[in-house]
This record gives sequence, C-alpha cells and structure tokens, in this order.
Amino acid sequence: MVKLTKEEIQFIDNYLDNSEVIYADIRLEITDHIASEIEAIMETDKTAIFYDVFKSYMVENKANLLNENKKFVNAVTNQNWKLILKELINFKTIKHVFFIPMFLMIPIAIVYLICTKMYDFSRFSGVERLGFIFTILFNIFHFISIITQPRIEEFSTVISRIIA
Amino acid sequence: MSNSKLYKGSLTTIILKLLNESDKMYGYEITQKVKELTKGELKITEGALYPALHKLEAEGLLNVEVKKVGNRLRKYYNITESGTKESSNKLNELANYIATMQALVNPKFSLE
Repeated sequence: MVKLTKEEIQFIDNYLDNSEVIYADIRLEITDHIASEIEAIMETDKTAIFYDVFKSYMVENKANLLNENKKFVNAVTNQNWKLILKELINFKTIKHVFFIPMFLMIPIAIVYLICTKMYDFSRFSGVERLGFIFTILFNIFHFISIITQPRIEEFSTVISRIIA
Repeated sequence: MSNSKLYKGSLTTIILKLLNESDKMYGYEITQKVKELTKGELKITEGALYPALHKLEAEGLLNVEVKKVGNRLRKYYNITESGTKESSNKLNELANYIATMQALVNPKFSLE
C-alpha cells in the first residue's frame, strides 16, 4: 500500500491553506480525502509521481473543492445558528432567563405603581432612576450567571478532582 | 453528486445506511464504498458528501472521532442511537418512494 510521506501531506495542507481553506478542521478532512485519492491512484499506477498526480487531481477538482469549501462553511454556520436559535427558544431557557426577573421585577413594579397611583405616595426621581438601573443590571448579571454557571460547575469539579 | 439530481434527496439515507452497517467510516471510504456497491454508477462528490455529513452530525445522528492514521489525521463518523432509528425511518420512506415511482413509471396492469 502506497503511503504519502509527512512532507507530501504537509504540501497538500499548505496548498489548501493558500487556497483559502482557512479552517483547520475542514482542511483536515479535505487533506485526508485528497491524500486517500492520490494514494489510490499511485497504488494502481506504481510509476506515478506524487506531484504529477496531485497536479492533475487539482486541475480536475480544484474549482469543485473550493466551491465546496464555501459550502462546508455555510453548512456549519447555518447549523450553528439553528442550534443557537433552538436553544434560545427552548422552554427551559425561557424559564431560566426570564422566569426569575419577571417574578421579582413585576411584583415590585406593581407595588410601586399601586403605592404611587392609588395611595398617592410621593414619587422620587432618585428611586425610579436607581430602580431602572437596578433592573437593567440585575438582568445583565442574571444572564451572565446563567451562561457561566455550567462552566463554573464544570471547572470546579475538574479542580476538585485534581485536588483529590 | 455528479450523476443525477434524482440521487440527491437520498444521500443522507445512503450515508446512514452505510454507517449503520459498519462500525465507523471516513469520508473517502464512504465515496469508495458507494462506488463499489453501485459498480461505479453513483459517484458521490466531496461537495455533496461533507456538508451532508456535517448536517447529520449537527442533528445528532452521527458522532465524530478524529484519529491519527499514518502521517495524517482522519475524521471518522459513527452512527448514534437516534441515527439508527432515523436510518430505518428513512429506508422505509425510500422504499415507499421507489414503489410509488414504479407504479407511476411502469404500471402493472391486472384484471383485479
């Protein structure tokens, strides 16, 4: 079985890198594909030289491959967006992200409204402004904590394993 | 897929079926296997295969494993549990499709 050398693999990889296949994970897969194809050709024709086979393969498939590279990236990007949207629309996320702020902020706002409107309590600009800032900050920090909490838990279990 | 647009819709079914039958496969192996099984009739191009594989991976039907083979890294795909289920669904769907097309293209007349 003909096996390409490390330098030849590197050559393919560099070639793809220069042809704007910038992502290493995608390049890895295309490099393997091209290398397998070239090895198969060299296996049937023992006198074939790597660079000649590579050149003729590229003449035939380059346009196709580069077009594909775009398709690869688009496919992955679209999938990622779909995953993010799915995760955001998911009931669990809605519960986690909006539940606590809603149930803390809305009653406070209602009580404040009742006090000022029905019982004619005085309104204070400072209270309202601080309340507004508090609400915004609360939501921001709450959102950050939701995102980072699993990571922190993961991190702390890893650390505790290392210590133990 | 160079041959025909007719094959295009069946690509994921073909991939799932092949992966269902073997432990794990890499991209080039899949193209060769299809070529071998169809005696060269169906040639899957890289441009169709890899996006389809990535899509299946994103949908959780396939798992990915990167291994060092000789001088290079190779991405292996294997089927997940939900992939196995999806595979049998898709095969049924395809069998129905073939039967329907057969009835349309080559109807069998009988006295019943």
